[in-house]
Order: sequence, then C-alpha cells, then structure tokens
Amino acid sequence: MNLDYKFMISDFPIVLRALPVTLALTLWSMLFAVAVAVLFGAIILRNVPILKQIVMAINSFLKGIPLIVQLLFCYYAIPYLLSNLDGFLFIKFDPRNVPYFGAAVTAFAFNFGAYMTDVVVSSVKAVDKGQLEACYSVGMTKFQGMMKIIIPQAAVISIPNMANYFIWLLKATSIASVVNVVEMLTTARISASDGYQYMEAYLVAAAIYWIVCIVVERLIKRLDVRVGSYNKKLTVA
Amino acid sequence: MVELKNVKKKLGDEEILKGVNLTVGTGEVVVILGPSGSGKTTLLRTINFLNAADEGTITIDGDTVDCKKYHKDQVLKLRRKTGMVFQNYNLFKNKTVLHNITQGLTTVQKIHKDEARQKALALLEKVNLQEKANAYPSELSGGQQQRVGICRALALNPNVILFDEPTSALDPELTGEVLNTMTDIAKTGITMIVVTHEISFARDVADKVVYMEGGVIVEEGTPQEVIGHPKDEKTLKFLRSILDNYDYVI
Repeated sequence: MNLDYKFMISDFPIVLRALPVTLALTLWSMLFAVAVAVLFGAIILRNVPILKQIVMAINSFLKGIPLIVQLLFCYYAIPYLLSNLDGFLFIKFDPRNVPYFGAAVTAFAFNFGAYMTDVVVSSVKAVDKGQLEACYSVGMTKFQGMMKIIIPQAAVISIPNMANYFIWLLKATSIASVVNVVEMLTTARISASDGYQYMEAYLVAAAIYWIVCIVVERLIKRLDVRVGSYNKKLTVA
Repeated sequence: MVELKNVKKKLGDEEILKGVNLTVGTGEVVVILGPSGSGKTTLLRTINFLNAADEGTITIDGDTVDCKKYHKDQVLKLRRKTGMVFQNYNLFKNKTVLHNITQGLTTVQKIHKDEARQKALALLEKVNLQEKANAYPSELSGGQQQRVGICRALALNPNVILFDEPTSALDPELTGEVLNTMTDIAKTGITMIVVTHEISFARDVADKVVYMEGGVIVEEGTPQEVIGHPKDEKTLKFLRSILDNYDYVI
C-alpha cells in the first residue's frame, strides 16, 4: 500500500484542530447522559409506579434502535416537531437553522443515558444493604443515608463501567459527522477531499482517537485509585 | 425503659415472632439466647424498625409506636433513641473511623464538627483505637471494626444499644477484645439488649437472660436461673448442645 506519509504528517495538526469539537461533543453528551441515567435510575430504584414502566419502555426503545437512526431522528424529526412550537411562548424557530451540535448531543445523551441507567441501578444495588441499615441505626433519614453514604459508594463502584461508556461515547461522536457536525472525522474527510487521500486522513483520525482514548483511560484509572482508596484491601485483592 | 408488647412478625407464610412480650429496665443488660431461626435477631431488629413487626407495640422511654399503624417520623424518633451494633459491623466503608463515629453526631444531632471530633476521639481512646482514627474500615481487623461499631453506637448517647450477634463474624481470638469492650460499657449503666451465642458473657454480664425458641420467649430470668437452673426442657437442651461444644479435646 502506498501511503502519502508527507500528507499524513501535514494533515495531523489539521485533524487535531478538531479535537476540541470532539471532546466538547463527548463531554456535553456525557454530562446529559449521566443526568438522564441518574433520573431514570432513580425512578427505577424508587419503583415509582407508571413512571417506572414509562422509563423502561423508553430505555428499551433507545437501546433497540441504532444510534445513527436516533441521530438522524434528532437531526430531522425534532426540528420538524419543534417547528410546531413556533410562536408559542415567544419561541422563535427557524427551520433553516437546525442546531447540529445540539441534535447530536441530544441523541448521544439519550442513547448512552439508556445504557448508563443500568450502571446507575446496578451500582446502587451493589452497595451492601447493611450500609443503609447502619445509616438508619444512627438515626439518619433515607435521604441523608443516600446522599452521605450510599450514592458516594455507588459512584465509586460505577467508575469502571462509566469509564467504558465514556470511551465508547468518545468514539461514537464520530457518527455525528453524518449530521454535519464538524468534528474530527468530518475534518479528516474535508482535509482529504482535495487530493483524494482519504485513507491517509482516516488513519490520522484513527491515530488521534487511539491516543486520546489511551490518555483518557490512564486518567480514569488514576481517578479510580484516588476516590476508591477506602477500598484498599479490595483493590489489592 | 424498653417495652415490647405482643410483637408478631410473619415472613411469607412463616411466623417468625408469635407474640413476644419483653420489658427491659433502664440500665439493664439483657441477653437473648436461642438457636438459629428462633427469631432473636428479628426481635432485636423490630425494636428499631429495621424489620418492622406486623403487630404489637414498641415503647422506648415513653415513645410508643404501634407496629400496625405508624408514621415514619415516629420510627425516626424511635431509631434516634437506639444505637445498633451489627454482626457484620456495617461501618460506613467510605468514611474514616473518625467520621464513622461523627457522622450521626453531625448529620442527625447537628453537633458541631469539632465537638463531635473530640467526642469520637475520647471514645476511640476508651477502646484503644485512637491511632486508627484516620484509617478506613477496610484497613482494620474484624475486632477493631466491631469496636469502632460500638463507639459509633455509643457516641449518639442512645437510650438503648442493640447488639446483633456482635462476635459471630469474628475469629475466635478476636471475640475477646469485643466482649471486653461490651463488658466495660455494661458497667457504665447503659441499657443493652444483646443477641449472642456467648454463654459466658450472658452468665457474667447480663442482668437478665431471655431464652427464645420458635418465635416465643420460652424462659426468662437472671443468669443463675436461666443458665444455672433452666426450668424448661428446651432451654436445657439448647444449653447442653452449646456447652457440649466446649468438651471437645483437640
């Protein structure tokens, strides 16, 4: 295979310049995905009648439909639906100006939020039942016990799983290229179009994704060791 | 004073407690003995509503809660009059030894951080663990964890401390340190209700021994009466089976 190495080297900083967009897309999506997961998880854990069934149905829908379909839905359908709100409560909607970035964040947040709901539920359930009993025994209310003892422990338990989803999400943001978000993959494609050096440009993008993932993994491992230090014996074993 | 009246509890179809009446006077140390499955742990846990009973009333120093119909505020009030020491210690894993003890003081009793800290350190000194104040529970031995558990219960100055088989999860060589701590605090005049298999503790420390079997109290009285001269056939059989264990020569 004849690769244009010179182009690859010169293309590297160009593609890298789009990394902040990829990271911003990842971080915003993660933030809202966690919010969705915590909300959905709380509803499932608290066994709220009706709402729980609704959440389970939504999650089954979100998990059962390809991410790219959801992305296209957010990109095409939501603006269309929102256009009905034009003029309602001072909302002004311009269908010519679809928010690409917002559409992508919405799609990622709900899709990953659905998967992360399971992480939230299983992490809270993984906290020893005796911990909440101990909270009760010292006179705490359930809310106090959850906030001070259970959720902090569940959060630490969830780190490895959440980290996996974060890395998965980071790579999944490349799908946003189909709805015109100019992130790394789109940038690579644009940079390649002049000389038709797609192979080279995509390899550059792949390398950057890989490096970023390695760095992120390292950082998360450090975080895990730091906040989970109270489990010293467990981590060693 | 702790008073249980006609406490009944069902789990599925099985009746765990079949109408138990128990009175524990202020400052009394009551030990509940009985074979596994006799309902003694369940009885203890109905007192602070970790297992709510289906029927009956529970009174702790003037506050009576009807187990059939109660409000969660009543339960909270009752719980705040009790402390509990668990079989598996149940220390807050994400908190240091010191914070395990101060947690209830600062969150529930709204005592200032520094004051709570002083109190916790004083308690830790009593059980010889002051140098472990900043350690996490995972860094302690079982016996040490249980002594912290006792400190956590003591710190809240409860009207009664409930001990749920506090030495059952410990290695034999570690039970001594926990039993000694319990003996020490029994001398300070705190009301204690202890579920245990440690006959010697019951004999030496208890003011009253209660023998339970099949969800009812079979016999109760002073240690001399119940352990020394059991009247009921069931009590005698149980004591024999336990005391026989000591006859093995290894």
